[in-house]
This record gives sequence, structure tokens and C-alpha cells, in this order.
Amino acid sequence: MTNSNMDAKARAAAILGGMKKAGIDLIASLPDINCLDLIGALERDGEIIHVPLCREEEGVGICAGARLVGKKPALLMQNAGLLNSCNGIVTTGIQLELPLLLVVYYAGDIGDRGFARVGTATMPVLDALGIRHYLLRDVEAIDWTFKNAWVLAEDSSRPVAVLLTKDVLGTRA
Amino acid sequence: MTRLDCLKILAPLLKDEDLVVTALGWVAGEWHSVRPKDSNLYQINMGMCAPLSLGLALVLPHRRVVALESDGSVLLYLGNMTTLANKKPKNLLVVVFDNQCYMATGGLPTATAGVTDLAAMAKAAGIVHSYETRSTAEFEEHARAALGREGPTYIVAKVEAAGKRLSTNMDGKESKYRFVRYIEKSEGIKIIGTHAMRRD
Repeated sequence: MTNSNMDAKARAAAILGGMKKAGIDLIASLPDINCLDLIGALERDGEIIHVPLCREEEGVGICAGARLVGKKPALLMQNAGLLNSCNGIVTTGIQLELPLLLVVYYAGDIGDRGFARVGTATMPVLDALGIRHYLLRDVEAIDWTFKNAWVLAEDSSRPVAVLLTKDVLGTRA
Repeated sequence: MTRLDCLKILAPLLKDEDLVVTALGWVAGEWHSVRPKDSNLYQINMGMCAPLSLGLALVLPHRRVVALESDGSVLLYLGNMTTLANKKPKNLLVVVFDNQCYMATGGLPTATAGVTDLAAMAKAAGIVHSYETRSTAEFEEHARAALGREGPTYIVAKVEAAGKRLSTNMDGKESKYRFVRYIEKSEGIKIIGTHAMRRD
């Protein structure tokens, strides 16, 4: 992996920058500790509408509404939150054929100490929902991944997931 | 008081450009029967109607947005009250038709048939203008006030467990396209198009 000299704050800025370059202009979020710098950067951004959530699934509804009136929305959450959101994703996101970027912190990744069960469930659940997903480890892949994930979401009129790892976030001990 | 009584009161209070989102169930057909407009979005699934309306309201602060919710739907994702309260959209009215049962799935009681008070919960969540209404006169008074003020309003209308099986004669996707095309036209923006020819 490259750019290992970037600290977590610089990586958070790069990730937010990648989302902005992809056109994302509304983000609903619920925090994971590994995403605090990213949410901090989002709070300071001022251009993107930020909606802090208390449960991830309501974010599906908020993003759906935003999309129907022209925004390019993203839902930032842990993979545990992805599991919380499945009904809304299916009955609103997929049912109404809406492009939506799911930016999912991938707890229980290879090399993690903890959350292996939710890590194990993440990709099979996305596959079962018919949601294509891309794992982001390398800082250099950020812009490319977000740009093309949004193109795929729009082109397929479906949610698409980008999985954030500790490697790209710079939070791996 | 029935839901249809309230809908008949609400419809003439709205401007053509006000956006209305309905929950799943008979409310969609009933609303379509009194206000059949492309500024309506029908049959949003359980729990998603108020959050989706919040998304509309935050993105289009210059438009009035009305969510036609139900007790069962709101109870499913109660936390959304707190998100709505903290975002304080000036242009959002949520009407919860509280018939105290899961009517569409057989009529078993919801929590509001017991001791639960949704309007008090909304107020405690931080939505200052939260009201329970039990008569059509009260409903009209609160709906008029809501449409005249800046700030979110939450009206819980206690209604009979009765409804009319009216249909919108369209599925959710047709409703989506009508709504999106209406937004494109009225806002002067492009939302859904053909991407295949784009080079970006």
C-alpha cells in the first residue's frame, strides 16, 4: 500500500475529497470511532448537507428523499449499521430504484481484533441484497473508487457500497 | 373523526406546489382521491415516510413538505423524531394518522392503543409544535397554524380504525417518476436521464 506517511486526518480529508469529487452533496451519518476524523471533516466542510442519525436505517429514507429532488446522497455508517438498514435499503432504496452510495466502515476486517462476526456477515449480506461492493484499502484508490461507485449507482439505479478499512483510514494500530 | 375527514380538510389548505409524501396503505388512495397531483409521492414503505420527507425538506427549504404518516409506521423508527427535531426543518409538517392499530395487517393494537402518547413523545424529542387532535375543528386549526409558521410541526390525529379502499392506480415507481419529473420541471433541474451517452 502507498501513501503510508499520511496521517488519519489527511486520509479523512482525502476520503471526503474523493466523495465530493464524485459529486456527493448530502451525507447522513452515524459514527464509528474509526470514522471520527472523516465526520469531523464533514462537519467542517460547509458545502455538503450533513444529517447526523440515531439509527442508520432512517438515513436510507433521508437519502432517498434527497435523491428524489436531485442530490447525490451517501450513507456513512459501520457495517453493524448496514445490518440495521437492510429493510429500508430493500423497501425504499432498491424498490424505488434509487442510486445511493453506502460508505460502510468494515469492522471485523482481516487483521482486526474484534467484530469478526459482523465482518463475516457484511459481504454475504450485500451480495444477498444485490448490492455491489468495493473494498478500499489504498489511499491512491480513493478518488477512482468513489467516482466509479457513484457512476455505477446511477447507471444501475441501485445502492452501491464502498467498504472503508482501517488501512485506508490510517487507524490500524 | 376519520382519516379521510382530515385529508379533505388538509387538501384545500395546500398550494399546488406543496410536496406531500404518503405512507403505505389506504392513506395513499384516500389522499389521491382528494388531491391527485404530481407533487404527491405515494406509498413509501413502513417507517420511511417521515425520514424521506425530512430529506426533501432539507434539500428544498423553499418548498413546503407534508408527510402523511401512521402510528405503526412512526413507531417502527421512533428515533427519527429526534433527528427531525434537531435538524429543525422550517418547512416540514408531519401528520400522523393514529388509528391505534396495525390496520393493514389485520388490526392488532399498536402501542398507542395502550398508554403511549406520540405527540408527547415528539414534544419531548424536541419538536416544540407537537399536538394531538381529536376533532376535525382541532385538526383544521393546527393544520392551518402549521402551514403558516416556520418550523417543524407534528400533528397526531386520533382517527377511527376505518378507511376507504381507494387506489392511486399506479405503482411506487410510476409515482416516483411523476414526482421526479414534476420536481425537475418546477425546480428547473435534471435528476433522471440517460447516462449511457455521457463521457465523464
